[in-house]
Amino acid sequence: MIDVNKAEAQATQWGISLRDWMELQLRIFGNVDAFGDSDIDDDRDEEWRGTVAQVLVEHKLFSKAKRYLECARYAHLYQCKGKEKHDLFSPIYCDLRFCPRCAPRQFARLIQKYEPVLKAVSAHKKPGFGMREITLTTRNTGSLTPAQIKQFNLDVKKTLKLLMSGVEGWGAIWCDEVGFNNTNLHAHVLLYGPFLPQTRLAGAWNEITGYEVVYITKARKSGAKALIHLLKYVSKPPASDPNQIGLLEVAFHGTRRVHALGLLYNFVGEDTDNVHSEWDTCPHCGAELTKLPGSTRIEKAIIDGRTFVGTKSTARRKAWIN
Amino acid sequence: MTEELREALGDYKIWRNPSMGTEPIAYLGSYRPPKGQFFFTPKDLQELGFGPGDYTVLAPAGARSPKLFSKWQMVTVPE
Repeated sequence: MIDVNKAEAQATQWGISLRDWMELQLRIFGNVDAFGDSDIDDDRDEEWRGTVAQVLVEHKLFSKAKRYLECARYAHLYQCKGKEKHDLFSPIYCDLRFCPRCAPRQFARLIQKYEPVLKAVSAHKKPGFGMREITLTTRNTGSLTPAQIKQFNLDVKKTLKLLMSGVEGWGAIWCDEVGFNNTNLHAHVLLYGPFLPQTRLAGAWNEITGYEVVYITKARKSGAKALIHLLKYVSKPPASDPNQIGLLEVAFHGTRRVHALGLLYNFVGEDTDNVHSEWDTCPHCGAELTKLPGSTRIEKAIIDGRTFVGTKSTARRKAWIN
Repeated sequence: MTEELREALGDYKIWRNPSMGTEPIAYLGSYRPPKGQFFFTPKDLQELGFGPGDYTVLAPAGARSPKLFSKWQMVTVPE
């Protein structure tokens, strides 16, 4: 963990920003230009990530800022406990929701988590029940805060519970979304339940939130395909502007983006990505692995002759939320 | 870029990289590259009195260009 006070004091003393201080630490403690001009080719991406990190720093999310800078650029170091003591490395991922590298990985984990229950309900539909796609919208206020998002999720939950009051065996999954490069917060819901007229949905949403615009349609796809359609925006960050990405990370800090209710909550699948790794042992000799302190740039790990051992299950990924 | 422009861009900041991971990073101060240059070579650092080792240079904001001049520069002064 960074000692933020010490880091800020040192950055001030050196006349640089905290973001530059972080970049300096990362560069020096992973210090190599292994491919000649590789760092120049990479500058645009580093600059983009640096801007996101700057926003996170400004909102005191220091650890997330560091993770965003390190993502897929740095690696944890491992050594096997065998006689040969093979040197290995495992790339670091930030696992943040709006990271262009990690968002597709989060999408894959969400599909794995929710696919089994959706397949099951599609295969054994209750008479009169079906899959419906709902969109619930709010007014664009020009900014987003964690409190606003928490309230929005509470409102979605209340609305669905109100509409399904007295109904047995219903379930829903929803995903919070924002428009591309804006703060237009809305939810896409996949509802498994009886027929629901648009007017009743609009009335309930209006009663709870004061907003009126809703859409409902019969799901055009079933099972896993409906889920992929619902979650497709999770796989891609909703902005090209790094400031906007940073603000979204801040707004969603400590809140979930994907939620399940009723039947779809009760029978959710296991998220095995955080408990199982193909890379538990040394690929050379099969010996157990030991994690060494510190990290290094991936290109340095390769040049040093370390062997890639895939992603490991870290404590943070075990506590993963979507 | 002209010499006037380089002057206007401001100073570059230089740190000495620790030779071992446990040592702290040493800030050496703000400097400008020799006339007509927008980066530092190992010889430039030697002439500033810096001994053998690895150095990290931060270019002033205006002197950075995605293709030509990196924000960060690594320079090794040989033995």
